[in-house]
Amino acid sequence: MKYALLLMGRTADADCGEDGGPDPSEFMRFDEEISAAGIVVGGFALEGPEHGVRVSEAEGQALVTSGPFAESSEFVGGSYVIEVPTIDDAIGWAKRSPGARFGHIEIRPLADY
Amino acid sequence: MATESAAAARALTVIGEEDHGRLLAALARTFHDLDLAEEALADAIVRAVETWPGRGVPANPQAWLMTTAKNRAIDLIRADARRARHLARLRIEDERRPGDHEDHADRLGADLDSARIPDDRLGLFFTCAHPTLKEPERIALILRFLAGLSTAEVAAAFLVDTTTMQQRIVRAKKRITVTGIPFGTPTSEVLGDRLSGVLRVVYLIFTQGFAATAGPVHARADLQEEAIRLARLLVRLLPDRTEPRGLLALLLLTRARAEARVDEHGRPIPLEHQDRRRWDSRLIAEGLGLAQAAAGEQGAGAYTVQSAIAAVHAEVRRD
Repeated sequence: MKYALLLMGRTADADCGEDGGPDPSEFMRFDEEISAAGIVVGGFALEGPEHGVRVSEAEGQALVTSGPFAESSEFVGGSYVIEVPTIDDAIGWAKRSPGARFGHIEIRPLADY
Repeated sequence: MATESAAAARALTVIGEEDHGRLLAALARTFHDLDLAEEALADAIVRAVETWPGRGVPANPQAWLMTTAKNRAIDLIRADARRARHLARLRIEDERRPGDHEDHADRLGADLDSARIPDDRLGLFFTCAHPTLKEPERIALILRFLAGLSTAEVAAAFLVDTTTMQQRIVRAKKRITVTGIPFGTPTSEVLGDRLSGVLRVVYLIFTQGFAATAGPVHARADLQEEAIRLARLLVRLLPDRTEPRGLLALLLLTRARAEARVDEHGRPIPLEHQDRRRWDSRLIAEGLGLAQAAAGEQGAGAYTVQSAIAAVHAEVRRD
């Protein structure tokens, strides 16, 4: 089954590489580990939310705003899409990611449409 | 008409509660789909009701039901592309050949030796008690699929109406399928991690209490009795483990004192004032035996300890 492991960060936390923030080498180590397992079928790493652009609509008008977005307490940092037999396997991998310690990881099964 | 339905009812009495549970668990494990298993088995039972009174009950009724349900499950998978894709995605077999969904279902079905129905109920326990399910969902699923209560009886246990409970159970089954909660016998690692969670669900069922005199239309099942039966089943399924016996001892010793615990107005009576002649001595004897044996074992854990405490209370000398 395919699962997305969404790495969610807290806006209030220190950035990766800064004091008190996660160490980028931990993420790289995890990336090597999970890639070596041969289960990764997709995913992405994102630039920080300060570089995000939001598109929505208000009263029929398109609204385009740039980050950072003060009203959001969390943001998507990146994801892995993995293919493993059960949810327990996905949970096992999520636990090993440094993302579970800083912020959280949300596991979502890929929809079958 | 009356004779026909009476004959059908008689025919179905050869299939006990145990058999039904084992059939369901085997089908759920084979096809990794509890909802599918339930539907296929229900359809097979309908076929039995239709054909057995006329043709006679088969020599091996469980095997007949298993074969019929298995074939029905394969038909259901073939007819539903989504189910077929789900099965393929689970990669149950070693190799996965794309576009092979139908053969996949067939091969799985062939593995089910209809002459010998395996006991997959331990796996079903662990599936229904999986930590990613919410606690009320776990209780409802175990009452429905392992204790064999009807949806109406489970609804009564939760003090909700049957339709509401039906929806909850449908959602819980959907969560199992969509999230990818595993089926199959747990490994010893999984057993080590999660057995206490499974026992906890049985304990919660016990503490939900007695049959209520008031409540929804259908009689409320005696949940303490159901919990004891589930604990006995776990003892049989896991004979080498201590904690299931610890739990059973705890439940028996607690149940044994039920009659003495409240007065005629329903007010609780403290232990030192309870009339011990109203304790059930058979349950006490069995509970004490289990508790004492379990206490000395390496696998003793929380429930064994609690049963030891209950044993002390039960051994208090009569005046």
